[in-house]
Amino acid sequence: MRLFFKYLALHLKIELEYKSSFIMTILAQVFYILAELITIIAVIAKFELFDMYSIYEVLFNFSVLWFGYACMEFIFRGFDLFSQLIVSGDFDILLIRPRSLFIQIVGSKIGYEKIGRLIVITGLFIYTIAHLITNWTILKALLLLFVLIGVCAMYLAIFIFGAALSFVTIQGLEAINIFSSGSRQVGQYPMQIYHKAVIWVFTFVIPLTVVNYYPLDYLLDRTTNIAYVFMPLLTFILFILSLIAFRFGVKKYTSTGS
Amino acid sequence: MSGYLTFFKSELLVQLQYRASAIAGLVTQFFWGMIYALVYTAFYNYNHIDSINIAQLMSYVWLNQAFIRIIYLNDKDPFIVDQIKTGTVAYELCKPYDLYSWWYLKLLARRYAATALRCLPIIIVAFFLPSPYGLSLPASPMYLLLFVLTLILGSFLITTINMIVQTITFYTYQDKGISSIVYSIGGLLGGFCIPLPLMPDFVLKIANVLPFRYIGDLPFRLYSANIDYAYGFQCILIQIAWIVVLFIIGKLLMKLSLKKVSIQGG
Repeated sequence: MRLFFKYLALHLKIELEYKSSFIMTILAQVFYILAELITIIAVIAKFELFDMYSIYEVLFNFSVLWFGYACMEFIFRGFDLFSQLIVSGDFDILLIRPRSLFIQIVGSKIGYEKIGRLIVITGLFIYTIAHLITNWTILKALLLLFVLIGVCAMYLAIFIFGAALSFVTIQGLEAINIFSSGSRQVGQYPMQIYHKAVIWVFTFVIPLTVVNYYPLDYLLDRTTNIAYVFMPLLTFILFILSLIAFRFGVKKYTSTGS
Repeated sequence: MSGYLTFFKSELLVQLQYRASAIAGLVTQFFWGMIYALVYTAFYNYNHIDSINIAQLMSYVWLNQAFIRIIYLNDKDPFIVDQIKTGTVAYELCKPYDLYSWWYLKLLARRYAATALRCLPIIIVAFFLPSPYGLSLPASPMYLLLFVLTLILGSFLITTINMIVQTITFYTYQDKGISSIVYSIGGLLGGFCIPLPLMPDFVLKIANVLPFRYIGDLPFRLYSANIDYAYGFQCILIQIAWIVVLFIIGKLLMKLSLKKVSIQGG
């Protein structure tokens, strides 16, 4: 853990070498996420879908997904850019060091520029749940906690799967973006509008619905089934699978030698 | 002139080497198209809007995916940025070429090479997708012609913008900051995130006074006659005007920065 904080401090130092650029990047990130939010609201308004669900439901979907994504891009950017380690051959160095591989990969890159996003989105999330939930119960609070953990586990699993795949493909895969950004693109809109088959894919292939679609039912008292509270934790199945895939990749790894 | 042409050709050949990454890109683009098609058709199941119909919107989505590399906003040559950061740009300055034209052609060549490898398969598959998800035929041969013309002009336009952003790297030594601001504004107001006809009117008003919507939005809507040709011709004039203005700005900016260029490191 000490090592992890050392990495954190080190990367912050690197970023601060280019101060004006760093600040501009953070501003751009904040702008980007606000722009994304505005377009979503604009599109939903254009199709007059606000009759079906409230703005807070939209905000909930949006902030949950972006929270998970921003969190993961901030801390686990190393897995996202893992293919670079393989291409450059730097991964070999990590293997011979007597430290945890996981921590070293995480420490290879910290996405500090995402911090602006993370702050904005956390604020938005708190604002949203304050308006969305009228009668609080302990179970609802627990569900919210599970949602945040669950969405993080889901994105981390996608990142690690991408990293595991790059053992095979060497080159980074933009294809993995389909799962991370693509699922976000689908999940940002209220999921009720989609065809049943789409919901099915985004439950059993990418467990997106368990962190935003089904929890909303419980939070808005549409159901009282207690199983809904623990549903977001199902994303951990994907997470465990991704770790197994990654471990398998490390075992089979042969250096690119460059 | 022939020197530049040879250069354009060789850059094209270099880029065509990366076939594997083109195939990966192809698959990605195709899935993105499917995702957008799914999302937007879901909307149309509930309501219809006046500004664009579903067939036109699907054509917009698929053309955007097929030609994304021609009009992709944030295209930079990592090699050029690296040269500025490490200082090897000094060698480039010694060569008897106009640096602006050289880099401009380099960026342009990247765009066409990357597109050459991936546009056709996407278009063909998209044509055969069941309605309403697929790409429709162009509204008329006339509109197809306008589409091709504006798309080519669009690639010139975005490259002038890339050049300005790249030149600013001379001042900040880091390309991330400035480019992320310019390109996130451009993405929003150029119809790259969400097709412009789905945006509210006040956004369209802002988009009209900026260059970004003349890059991709204009050709994609001309294809399906979502923009009729009276207005289309007017847009083409504005498009050309933007290219000229941004070209001049970029050239001046580069002249200025080269005058007081201090080379980084050794």
